[in-house]
Amino acid sequence: MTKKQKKNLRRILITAVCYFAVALSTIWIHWNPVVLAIVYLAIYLYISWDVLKRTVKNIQNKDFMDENFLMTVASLGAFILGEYSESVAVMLFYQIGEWFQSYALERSRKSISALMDIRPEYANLEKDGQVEEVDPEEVQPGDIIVIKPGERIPLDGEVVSGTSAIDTSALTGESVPRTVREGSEVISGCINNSGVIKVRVSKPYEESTVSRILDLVENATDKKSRSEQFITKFARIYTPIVVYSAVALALLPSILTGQWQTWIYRALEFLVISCPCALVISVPLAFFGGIGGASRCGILVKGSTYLQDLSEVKTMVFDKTGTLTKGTFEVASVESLTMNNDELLKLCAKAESFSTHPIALSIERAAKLSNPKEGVGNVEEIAGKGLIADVDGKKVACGNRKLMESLGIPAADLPVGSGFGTVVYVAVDGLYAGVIEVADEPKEEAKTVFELLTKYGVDKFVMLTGDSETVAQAVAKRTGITEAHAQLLPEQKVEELEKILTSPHLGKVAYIGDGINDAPVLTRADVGIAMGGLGSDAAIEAADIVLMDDQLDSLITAIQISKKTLRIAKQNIAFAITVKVLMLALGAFGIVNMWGAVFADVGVAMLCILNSIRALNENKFRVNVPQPAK
Amino acid sequence: MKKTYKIEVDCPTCAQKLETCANSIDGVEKAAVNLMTQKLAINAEKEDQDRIIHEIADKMKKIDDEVVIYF
Repeated sequence: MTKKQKKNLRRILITAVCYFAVALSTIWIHWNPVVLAIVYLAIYLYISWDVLKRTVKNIQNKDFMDENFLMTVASLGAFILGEYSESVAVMLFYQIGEWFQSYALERSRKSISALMDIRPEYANLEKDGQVEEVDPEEVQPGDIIVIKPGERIPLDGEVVSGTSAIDTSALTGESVPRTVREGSEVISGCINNSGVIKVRVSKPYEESTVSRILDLVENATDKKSRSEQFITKFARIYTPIVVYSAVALALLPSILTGQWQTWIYRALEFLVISCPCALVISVPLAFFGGIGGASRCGILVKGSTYLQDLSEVKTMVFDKTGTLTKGTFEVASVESLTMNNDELLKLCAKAESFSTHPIALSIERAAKLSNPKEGVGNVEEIAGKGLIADVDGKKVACGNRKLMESLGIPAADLPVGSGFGTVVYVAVDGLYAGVIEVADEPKEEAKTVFELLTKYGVDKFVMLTGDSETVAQAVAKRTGITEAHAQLLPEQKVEELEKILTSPHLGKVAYIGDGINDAPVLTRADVGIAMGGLGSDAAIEAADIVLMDDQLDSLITAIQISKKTLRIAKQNIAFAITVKVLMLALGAFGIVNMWGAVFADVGVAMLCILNSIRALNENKFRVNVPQPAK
Repeated sequence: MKKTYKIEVDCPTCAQKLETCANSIDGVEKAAVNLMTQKLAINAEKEDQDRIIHEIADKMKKIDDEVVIYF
């Protein structure tokens, strides 16, 4: 509770006690009417002075069509009509409502901020063998910091000693802890779970991951969603309409019937009911809750407008490398004719052990040899074809089709690979022995993710890549993408995207890339989504939404959150407007009294706030995409 | 250049008033208030920022003196 809230609560309680005491006393005591009016006036002024002051100020500034004006006119009007008790009650209930609203708002703001708070408070700086607690901003790159179990990693860096499990969930939403040891990179904002580690700091605090993310989340202010803009505009025209309707309600029937008192009272009621608080507060709160919930899942949204846009996405355009594929070369398959597959892989790894080519390295990684160079000699690299080497007394040739042909093996005998990788043929002592395929494998979950996405209204998947047509087609086939454009330079990617943007389609277009070379495309799309954003500054800069991990599953989570947030915002708008209109109609015919009207207003505001808080509940969004066994 | 200030506003109407007020100041390209994070963001030339925030604070005092801006 803030100071102001405490003060107001005290005022409300004092007023309530005085009011009920006076109201009850009228049953037994016969007050002098003038004395009673003065007593009520005193209570009235005590509870409403701030509203009255604001109204006066607003009138001076010629911008007075807001709830303060409505309440002032309604309560003063009731007082003048001689309904003293009603007048005080209206103001009292209005203040109670305002208090609850302010309290609820503060509470939800606090709980959301707490969720997003990944700010490290201190760093344990090691200096001349002494460990000292300092402000993270004082630590320089190259310094050594000590991180104990349970502490938050204050700055980005590299582990120099110790091993531990790191909880990265605050940043990535990934719940499985990551093991780090000497040489591993650690990211600020994560929690050190198990062991003491020493870290050499690589970036100053203001450039570290945690401050970049905080900056992004806290400054996501200037892009307001269309729903929010709608509600602001709505409130601006709504209040004047209500005031004029109230004037009409007071004048027209009174002139016709002559019952001035009744109809002026109804007009005042009308003003009380119309207070637009619930509307104005609930929509931004829903979006803020959605952004907060998303950031807990490792999804950073740069403004509520992007959350709304995402919920309307029907076309998703993907970059290939690193987004649809794993981004690293790996041995995808081994097919041996003359020995078992493992032996062939080991033989080839030995032959390639002196090479530093990425393909050779990936074969070596897959073979997991403890001493790969043993027994290898006479290595002869043939540029553009492959290499030949003596391995354990055998002549092993590894390379492409051309190398095999030069050894006299007919090309027709050689199998073709699956298409999206590089094929390495192996011959032993001049005879064809088998084939190893090295590929940048598509992510296993891609197909399942796309199938799930179609349930959320995404019906078109496109791939843009700089890679060759065959690779593009193979990846598209494996992932279930229907449209692939290959051999594109970065600027051609923008052109392709623009074609998609201008082609007649329904819904918004999202571009999903890993941030390398895609900054222009990310900016051009309706919603630019960067994956694995922790690494690339350019991506964080250019994207509208950043997925902190590079799992495609996060796309589903993001869409779910956006849809839920929008649903909540729309529910709030519909609910508040319906109740308002209903109450206004009832009030105009004198069916509800002023008390009922205030209760209705407070009730609607409360329900909308509670509904908005649902957007924050991110646990429901965790999706389990079945991962094939590795 | 964008500069962000911490603010204290507790009702949507006041936030709206602050935003309108900030946008009316000379030299402000775009000003936005975020009620949830309690932040006021002002896009303007770097050398104007200081003058702008003072003008906003002065003008706001006349409109609604319950709004607090920290600068």
